[in-house]
This record gives sequence, structure tokens and C-alpha cells, in this order.
Amino acid sequence: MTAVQISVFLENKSGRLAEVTRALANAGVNIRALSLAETIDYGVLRLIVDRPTEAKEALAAAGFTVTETEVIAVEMPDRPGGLAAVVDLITRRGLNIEYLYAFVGRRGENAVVIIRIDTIPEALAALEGVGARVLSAAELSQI
Amino acid sequence: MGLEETTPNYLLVADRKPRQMDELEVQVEVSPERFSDEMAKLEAVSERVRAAVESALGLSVAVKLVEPKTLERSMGKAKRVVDRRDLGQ
Repeated sequence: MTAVQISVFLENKSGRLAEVTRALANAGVNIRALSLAETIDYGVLRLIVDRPTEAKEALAAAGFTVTETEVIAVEMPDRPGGLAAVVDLITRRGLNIEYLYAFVGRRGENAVVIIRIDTIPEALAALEGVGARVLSAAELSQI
Repeated sequence: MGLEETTPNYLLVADRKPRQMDELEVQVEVSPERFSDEMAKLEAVSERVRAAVESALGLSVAVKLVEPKTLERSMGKAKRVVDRRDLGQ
């Protein structure tokens, strides 16, 4: 079970990020979590939103370089060691995480980590095998 | 060069800083369909372009990835080179 992330390639130009958030706002898309990776010349904005299809269409229509990325969303206890336990499950199998970022859910008791990894089936097996709560795209959009 | 992660469009920018050698930057558009959101893979694309130019021309260049459709499209004759050097120096 995987979830959808929206990824946007952005040159480091003044105002470019504001144009992304404006396009999403105009499309009525709600951002749930985001991560921005940057180099000196460009960045990649990674977004978890309530309506990924609409977000991608709105950004493409506004001229952005945008793609959907398959990610794993795992719910975990919002306490010390919560993320460490999830990461341990994956790295113990020798799997290499490309990147991850986390956010605290609205209910406050749990947090969610978004994981991008090339070996998705193996990572899902490692997580679901011990009962970790992997969220579907629909569940993620409702947090 | 045949890199599927980039479009065929490019721009060469020549520049010269005071008392330094001339520099050449190659700007290449990422492909809207094929771009990776992983920084290591994007950096690998830059490196492949850099290595291909160096191999073909013997020139060491800087490579800059840019958004698609940002490089000037050809209107008749394509503009492929921008020379920012102050040749009066």
C-alpha cells in the first residue's frame, strides 16, 4: 500500500515557490506536509496534499515541472523513539531510504513519516510484517 | 547526447571573472516527463552532461539544470550562446 506525493522541480528564482503555493491555493488544494530539497541552482519541492490529482493538474497548467511519486506513509506514535522504530525496521533489512520527512497528525497522538525508497515491496514487507500502520492514499488525505 | 532526462534544448553561457580564466556554463532543461525528484539522480544527470561535453570537446564546463521551456525557443535561427564576457578587459 503506497501513497502519492507531488514533486515539483523549481529553479532558484525569486518568487517561484510563491507561485506554486498560489496555484495550489487557487485550485482549493490543501497542503498536509512538504519538504524542500535544494542545491545552489534548483530545488525539488515534495508535497503531500489532500487531492493529488487536482494538485498535479493545477501545477502542470501553471507551467510547473511536476510529477507524481510513489511513497510509503507510516503512522507512528508521537513520542521519543517513534521514528527510530520505523527506520530500524527498514534499515535492518539492508534497505536504503532515499529521503523521508514527517509531520504530526491532527489528532496529536500520532505522527506520520513519508518515506521514499526504491525497494517499495521489500520495505512494505518489513513494515507490515510487524504490524506497522502503513496508510493508504485515502487515509493519508484524511489525516 | 541522448539523455532521456533532459530535453534537446540547451544554452551556452560564457563568462569571465576579473583575472580568471573564461568559464563556460551549459544550461540544460530537465524533461517534464522524466525528471527524478531525488537529488542524487538529478546531480547524476548534471554529471553525465558535464562528462559528455568534456569527452566530446575537451572542455571543462559547469552544468546547470533549468526548468523546461525556459530556454529561448528558436525563431528561425536558434540562440544557443550568450557571451557575458567583457572583452575590453
